[in-house]
Formats: sequence, structure tokens, C-alpha cells
Amino acid sequence: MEPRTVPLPRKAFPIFAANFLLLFSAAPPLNSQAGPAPLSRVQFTEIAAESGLNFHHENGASDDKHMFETFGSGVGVIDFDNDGYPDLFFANGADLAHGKPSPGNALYRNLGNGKFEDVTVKAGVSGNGMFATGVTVGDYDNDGNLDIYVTGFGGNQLFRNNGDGTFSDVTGKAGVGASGWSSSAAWLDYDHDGYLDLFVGRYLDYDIRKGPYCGYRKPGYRMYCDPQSFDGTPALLFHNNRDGTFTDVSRKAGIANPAGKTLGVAIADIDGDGWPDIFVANDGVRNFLYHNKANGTFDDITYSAGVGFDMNGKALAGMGTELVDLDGDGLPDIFFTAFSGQYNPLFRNLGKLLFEDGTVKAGLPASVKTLGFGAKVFDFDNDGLADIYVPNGHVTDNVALYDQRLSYRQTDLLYRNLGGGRFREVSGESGPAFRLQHVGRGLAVADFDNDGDLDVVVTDSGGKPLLLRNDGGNRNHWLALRARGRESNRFGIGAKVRVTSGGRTQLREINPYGSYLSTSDVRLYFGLGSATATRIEIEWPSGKKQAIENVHANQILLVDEADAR
Amino acid sequence: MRLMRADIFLLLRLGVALLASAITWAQTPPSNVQGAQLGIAAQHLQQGKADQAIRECKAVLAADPRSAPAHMLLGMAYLAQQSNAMIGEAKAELQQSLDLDPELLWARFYLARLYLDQGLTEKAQEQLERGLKQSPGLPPLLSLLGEVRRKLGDPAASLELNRRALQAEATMTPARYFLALAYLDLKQDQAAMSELEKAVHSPDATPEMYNALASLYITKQRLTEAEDLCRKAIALDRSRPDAFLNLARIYNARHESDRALEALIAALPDGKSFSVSEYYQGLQSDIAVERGAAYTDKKMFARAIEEYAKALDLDPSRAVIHRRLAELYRQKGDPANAALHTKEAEKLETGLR
Repeated sequence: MEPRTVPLPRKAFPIFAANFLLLFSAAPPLNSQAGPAPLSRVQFTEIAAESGLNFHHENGASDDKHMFETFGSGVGVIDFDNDGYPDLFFANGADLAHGKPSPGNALYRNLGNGKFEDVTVKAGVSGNGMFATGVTVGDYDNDGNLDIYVTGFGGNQLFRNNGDGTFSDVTGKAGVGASGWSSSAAWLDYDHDGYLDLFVGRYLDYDIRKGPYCGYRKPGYRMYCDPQSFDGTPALLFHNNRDGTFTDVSRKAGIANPAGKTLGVAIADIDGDGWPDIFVANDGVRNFLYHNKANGTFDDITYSAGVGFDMNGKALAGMGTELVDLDGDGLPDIFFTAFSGQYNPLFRNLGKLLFEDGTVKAGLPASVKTLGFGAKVFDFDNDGLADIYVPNGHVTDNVALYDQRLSYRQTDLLYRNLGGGRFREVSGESGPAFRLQHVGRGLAVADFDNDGDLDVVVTDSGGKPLLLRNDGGNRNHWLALRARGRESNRFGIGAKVRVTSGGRTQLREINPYGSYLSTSDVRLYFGLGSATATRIEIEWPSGKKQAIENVHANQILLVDEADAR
Repeated sequence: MRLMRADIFLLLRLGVALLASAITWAQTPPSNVQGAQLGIAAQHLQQGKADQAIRECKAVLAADPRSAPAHMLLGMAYLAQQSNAMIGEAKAELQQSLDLDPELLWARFYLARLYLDQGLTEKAQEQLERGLKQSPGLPPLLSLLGEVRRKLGDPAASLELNRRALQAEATMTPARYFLALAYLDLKQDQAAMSELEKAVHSPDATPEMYNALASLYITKQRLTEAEDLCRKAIALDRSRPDAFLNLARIYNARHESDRALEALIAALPDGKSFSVSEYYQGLQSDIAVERGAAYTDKKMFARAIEEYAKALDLDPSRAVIHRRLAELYRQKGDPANAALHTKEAEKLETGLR
């Protein structure tokens, strides 16, 4: 990692406007359509160390080669103190092979001046010493403070945000401790009762006392096993009882497939019926696509939708996943990462609950040497087209012993959306950050410096995270929204937002989940290209709708369901 | 001589009779159109057309994702593809079928079979015992449970369970094979040979039955019969390396080194991908040993030394390789290396004692 010395700018100008709040403005409002910005390439600059992010991940790598040692951990973007600056929470692993508890999760407060401060101890979120993996941020009690659900090997933890900079471990009371090995999770209001429920993906049925030997019986050659050697574990769905407790409704809801080996979970309304659906990327077995039947249950429509397998009818080693419109047709598409030698597929949503593998048509590679984990779809250059970031890193630290063409540490990939559903890899021209070899795992995006473009944070299994500052994304215009739910959940998770500018409409959902083990900013960012004003329509999970005309670009807008009808 | 580990897709053949039963069951599911489609899938499977069976099952599941028999048949069709890459998928479908309908006995049987071949013997045992509670005394379950018990270190239990299975169903070829394996564990080679001879005369004989018997014949120097068995195994499944390896052993024993080398190429062709496992480590080591023997026979000592060194690198625990290397170095006029390998061989042999 190369230390940088450029501080993050702090620019905050809260202004009240008619039916929304302009919370932050990075540039003066523009009244006229500007021409397309003469863009030089957007560059990503690695600034973790200089920002004070000194988190070091403990992956517990041992000679025993326990499967969880490969897992890495996620990162959660959480503005826990509601100061308008996204903070960061890192889940941490543990050296379980030697019986050592985790050195602890870490919470970093964004000071707004380019620096982060470690506030873990004060906040009380270090954790119970388990091998923590995923971070899922959401306000489950609608008190306006974002809470943290941490998944892991050996049980999960729910930290309730007390609103004073501290958190309380409410796992037992809430009844969401789960068992076994959980991976990615997501908050969603699947029954539209205004409270966030919790979907928890789980991975392998793994017993640390019975880890089998895999690989050659030669010193140094023991390797991590293929997940095929183990059974899967059913996912969990916890219904929010609205009193701080949850009920496990997994079987009743129809999402408890015992074969699940879940790594990625993404939520979106795939058919526009107003109800959130669930896509689950599984490792080595087919994926699951659960269609919400609007009665508290889901149908597994994977086979009819055509998203279970790769283009050859084989299950991929699905990792992180996204469910976002990538081709601008208003329908959420599926993207997920997969294993080295496979490919990172893009399934285009054709409507009517049908998908097709559009990877090759989209210009994405039909085979990749890298092993992708996280995945994030976001518009890094604010041109109005959603791009894709993939962090990479192999699972097997000694993979080069078996195949010299492969390496444990790998570089990340960035695909720019060219429009028309086509992508081009631009990693090589997007800054030295893309030459950094690391063991990429979790990935989240947020505008940490509130300058109008989305920055990236990537976790490293057994190492330090990358914080990649986006330099130049804000040369195009942009708009960000923060939702205030009333009948709907407090942060408007699941709300659909249509932004129309320059004759083009972008549809996105407020849904910070997806990727791998991680949560991104709950604020929703839109790139507007050269447009300086836009129209916004919001469809709340409650069914209420609102439209806002002539919204100026380059602001962070608070949209309130109280203004919806 | 080591017996090769049996791969799941190959052992699937052991259950041909069971598959037929399962298909018969699946041909009479409650619903109409899907029932007909499942019937077609079952027929494809019976005819060895796994890909077509998979297509039919997926079509049924697209219409009815909760069809337990469709999940079961799909799992079986994946197994019938004989690809290690499909094991995870097969297991997932069988598990889902049982989750939807715990009464699907054959799904339980094949799941147990998969567990067994993955080395998850306790899970296999659990499935089989559950199955036997549902259907006490069912010969295929008894027989497989016997094999599970053998793998758990109790060959006597396998003898008992497989004998019971054979009492109930005398034509059950897999039970004979499992009996033979139990006899081999008990060092009763003659009894094992007798069971295997009965097994290979059955129409349900599988490549590993032929090959297991071939291995025994090789140790008894019955090379012509062994060669015949290897050819039968290969005729059934050319993708299996173990029969080719045995052929190479036979040719080396007859000093037909060129033919031995050809057989070894067929055992693990260049560019063939394989999973990284102890089985393949052992296989590569065995192949290197036979190559070493062939090159020794051809008086290509440098190549022979190279191959034996490769074998040792893959499996340093085999004294016999050190002995052969010691002999080669002696012939080469390199007493220092010869002494070194003799010492290593002695160390290993002492350790074995």
C-alpha cells in the first residue's frame, strides 16, 4: 500500500428546501445544462493508512487449514452518529486453530477531515471473540439509529445503536444469534409492515474438530478443501416482531433450502410488483432466486428464471452478488463473482421473471483467472451508467504450489459501463490502486468525503483494508438521496427511486446490501452526467409515492415519506 | 499393492437395480404433465442419457420447484454424468428432495452413497440407519451400511450385514463386492477372490469389481486373467485410470515396457485435469513407479531415476522405491547414492515393522 497525503475535504452546508433537505453540497447548484464534462480518467487513490484506518484482519490462517480461514470478513458503512459522514465497521476473524478469540471488530468514526478515529471500545462493538465475517447495517427498531448485525462462524451478534455513540449487544433478547456459520445477510421488509426483517445466508456445515485433510500429503501442500466436501446449511429469515424480538420463519417462508452454501445475498424487486425478492449466490451449488409471493412466503423460481447455473448448465462458485439494473431498462439484473477459471456472470433481467446470461454480450470476460469475492455495482464516474467493481484474492494461500499461473494475492477489477449494456475493463487506467496485489474479500462503497463521488473500501483477508478515494468522479454531476421513512422503515430500505434527467431514467433501490459480507452507504447516489437538474420519483415500501421536480444536481437530498401520498 | 479408491460416479453403477426401482417410483407421482415429464426423465436416465434426463427434470422444477421426485431424479442424473464436478450439485438436489419428502428412500440411499465416497462415513451411516428404520431389512441399505461399517473399521460388521443382504437378495452384486472388500481387510484373500469372481460374472459387474479382482490376480501372478479383467473394466469406463495402471503393472511384469508406458499415458493423459487429492497424489506416485520400472527395463536408467524420484516426492513413505533407486545407482556406479537410498529404505522398513 502506498501512503498518500491528500486529506479528504470537508464541505457541509445544510440548507432547508421545499419538501426536502439539502444536507450537503459539494458544488454550487447549477441552473443550466452544462456540456459533457471534459473527463480525464477517474482515479482511485489508496488512502487507508493516512486516514487512520489501521485495522488489521485476523484470518487465523493455520496449518490445520480450516475453511473459515479463507473467508475474510466484511465491512459495513454506517453513519452511526448521524453526523452525515459515513463511518466504518470492520468484522474481524480469529485464530481459532490455536484457541484464541478474535482481536475484535473495529468501528471507525469518520471525523470529516479525511481522518478516521477508532471508537470501538467506547462504542462497545468489539464482539464476543467469535470469528466474525459479515456486517449488515440497518435500523431494525426504527429509532433513527443504524444498528449492526454481525455474522460469523459460531454465532451472530446484533448490536443495537443507543444513539449516544454506544451500542448494546441485544442478540439474546432479539433471538437472532443463529448457529453454525453465517455469511452475508440483508435487512429487508419482506412483509411491508414497516419494520426490517433479516435474511441470513449460511455457508457450510463445518465442524472445527473434524476438519478433513485436503491436498497432497507433503509438507506445505495441505490446502483448503473444496466446499463440495461439506454439507450446506439452510438460510434463515427472521421476522421482526416490532418489539425488539424476532421470530425464525425460515421454513414457513420457504427459504430454508438445506443445500444452501451461501456467500452472497442481494435484495431487489425483480418483477416490479412492489415486494422485495431475494437472490442468493451459492458456492458450488445452484443459486437460489426467491420470489416474494406477498403473503409472507417465497417461491424458489431459480429453475424457471434461469439463474441457477452458468452458460454451460453448471453451478458456479458464487461469491458476492448484486441485484441492480445494469442496462438501463428499469429491471434489476444479477451480477455475481465466482471462482478462478470460471467467470463473473451477468444475468440480464428480461422481465416476466426470466433472465438470460448476458455476460459475453455485455463485453464481460467469459473466463477469468482471478477469484472474485465482493461485487459492487455503482456509478464511479457519475455518467449515469452503473459500473462494476470486483475485488479479487484466491482462497488458497499455497495455490502457486499447485498451479504456478495462479497467485494468492491478486489485483482488483473495474468495469466501466459504456452504455447499451456493454462494459469495458478500465482497471489499468484507473489509478495505482489497481496494481495493488491483495487478498480482496468484502467491498462497500460510500461517499466518505461527501464530495459527490463514491469511494471504495475493500477488506483484505489477513491484512489491512484498502480505502480508495475517488478522484474525479465528481467532474460529472450527481445527486444523492437519504430517505426518511414514516410508514415504511426509517431509512427507506427497499424504496425505489427513479431519477430522470437528459431524457434518461435511472431506477435504483435503496438497498445497501449485496456484495460480499458487506453493507454500503444507505444514501443512494446517482450520476447525472452533464445534467444539472432532475426529476425524482420515489416509491416507498408502504406503497406511497412522491415526485420531486427540478431538483438541482450536486446535493445530498433528504426525502421524507411524510411528503408522499 | 494398493486398492484404488472408488470414485462416486463409478460406484453409482452399483445401484443400477436400485435406480430402476427409484425410477419406477418416480414414474407414478401424483401430478399429470409433470408426472409424464418425470417418467421421460427416468427413461432417459435408464438409457444412460443423463443430459436429457437433466433437461426434463429442470423443466419439471421450473413448473414445480417443490417436486421432491424431480429433485431426486435430478440428483441421480447429475451422478450419472460421472463427473466429480457435479457431486456438489447431486448432493444438493438429493438433500432438497429429502427436505421436501423425507420418505424418499432412494434419495436417502444415494445421499448415503455420496457421503460414503466423500469420506463422511458417519453421515452416511446416519442416513442409512434412518432409511432402515423406514424400511427394515432392505438389502441395498443393509449392504451399504455394511460398507460404511467397514470404512469405520469394522469389517466383521460388513460381513454380517452383506451376508444378510445376500440372504434376502442373492443376486445383489454390490453386496458381493463389499463382502470382498471386507475379506481383504481381514486378510482373507481367497474368500475375497471368490466373492469377486462371483461378482464379475454378474451382468451388474462394474469396473472396480473387475479391477479389484485384477489386482488380486496380479499378486498371484495370474497375469493373463488379470489382463482380461482390466480390458473389461476399460471397456466399461475408459476414464478410469486404475485399470490402465494395472495393465501397466502386468506389462512391466512381462517386460513389455513400451506397452506399459502406453497404458500409463492412457491412465493419466497429458493435460487431463484432476482434483487435488490424496487419491491423485497416490495415483501419480503409482504411475511414476511403473514408469520407473518400464524405463529400467528399457535400460534408460536416468529416466528411471527421474521417475522414481518423482514418485518419492509424491509419496516419501515407500521403501520399495528407495530399494529400486539404490539398485539403479549401484548399476550406474554411484555407491554413495545407492547407500543413501538403501539406508532410507531400511529406515522405512524398520518403521513399518
